[in-house]
Amino acid sequence: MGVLLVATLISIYEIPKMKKQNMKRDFILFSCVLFLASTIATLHVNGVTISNPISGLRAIFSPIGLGIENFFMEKGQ
Amino acid sequence: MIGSSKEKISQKQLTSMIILFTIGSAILFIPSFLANVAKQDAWISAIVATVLGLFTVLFYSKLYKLYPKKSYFECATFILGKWIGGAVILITYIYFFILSSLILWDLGEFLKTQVLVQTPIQVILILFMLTVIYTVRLGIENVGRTSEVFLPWVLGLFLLMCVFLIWSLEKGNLLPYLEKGVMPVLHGSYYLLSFPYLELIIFLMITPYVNKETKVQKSFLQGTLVAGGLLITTTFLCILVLGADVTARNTFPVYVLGKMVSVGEFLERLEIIIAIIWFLSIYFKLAIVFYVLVASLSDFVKAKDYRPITLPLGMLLVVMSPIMFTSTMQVASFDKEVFFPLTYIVGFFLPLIVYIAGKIKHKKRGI
Repeated sequence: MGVLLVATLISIYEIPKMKKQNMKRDFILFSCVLFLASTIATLHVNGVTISNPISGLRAIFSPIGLGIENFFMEKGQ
Repeated sequence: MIGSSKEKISQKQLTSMIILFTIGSAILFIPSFLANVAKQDAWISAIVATVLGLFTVLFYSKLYKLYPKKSYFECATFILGKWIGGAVILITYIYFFILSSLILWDLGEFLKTQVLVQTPIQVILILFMLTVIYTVRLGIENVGRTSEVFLPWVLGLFLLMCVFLIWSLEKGNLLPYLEKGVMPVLHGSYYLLSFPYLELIIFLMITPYVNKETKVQKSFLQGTLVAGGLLITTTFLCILVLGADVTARNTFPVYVLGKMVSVGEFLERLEIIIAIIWFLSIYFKLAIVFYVLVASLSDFVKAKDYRPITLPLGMLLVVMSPIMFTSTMQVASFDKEVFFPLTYIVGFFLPLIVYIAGKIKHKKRGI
């Protein structure tokens, strides 16, 4: 509920300004980002586990990172 | 929009922004990172990394001189074309997003563990993010001017801190030099070069605002030199006062350093000075990264103004930051396994590709 309240407040604050200046692209971007943020927040608040986007990065990079770490560690001995 | 904006920042403001950006968040974490691998030689690796960092910013200013009126993203699309340039931008953008949530999390974790132990972390994040959003909505010019105002405070407080610590130095902590050879020292430099020096790539997004093109290189070098000096001094003091072991074991050794201040039994525990330095610098770091995030995103969809998306994007950051980073240990291993290699790719290899391609393009046009 709190999340939706925040999202509504942000919309009330921003949308009239954008309408006045006729910013269509701004409005689309604004609603996309706001929708994404409030969806994730609502899910998170309700205890749905959201897969951590970092774990994907970790799968790609940890061989490189650990390789560098080991390189320095072995040479240091 | 970044290239054609009316906002201007002066060379002095760029320098102070670079100094505050570089010491932001690094000043608290770096001594511990360095002392973990290089032990009592941490200060040597700080010096090595700073020298390398100076070469890095020299390279960045060379890249800037290719197209002084274009930001790094515009440069990448212009030089490498829509698709390859787009890939470069996408990776860099993801990196900036992770960087900003990491900065936000750093602050939240520090306050949560050291100061406001009972407060939910979200409250801290939201309050801090609102301040940053407010600043960013006022524009980059204001960020620059504010940084010019706050820089003397940060430097002055830092000097004060150093003076007060003179009474508790122990020279024996520095011995023996290079106990295990050069490799651990280089290992430390590898950390320090990526965090914070290679993060300075973000300033290539702001440099189009600078009013005098010729002065950018100078302010890059000046800023890095001053900030590097601060980082070296901090590490040096940590090792001298606390010793390598205590420095390595604490997450925030500099904060502990503040607690050690004791002058004649009437001036004790000045850790709040460290906290002030840190809040100011991390605030500017987050403001700069967040400005680049919103400005480049609205640039990408060719929107008229970046201000409307500051609030939703800030909300996204506040939500994502605790989801992405859950504990101190997780962040430490994330730094080593993912973030440092990613920083080398984003901060060094991709700009190098852009630079080489840009040079070739220049030459072709010359003929």
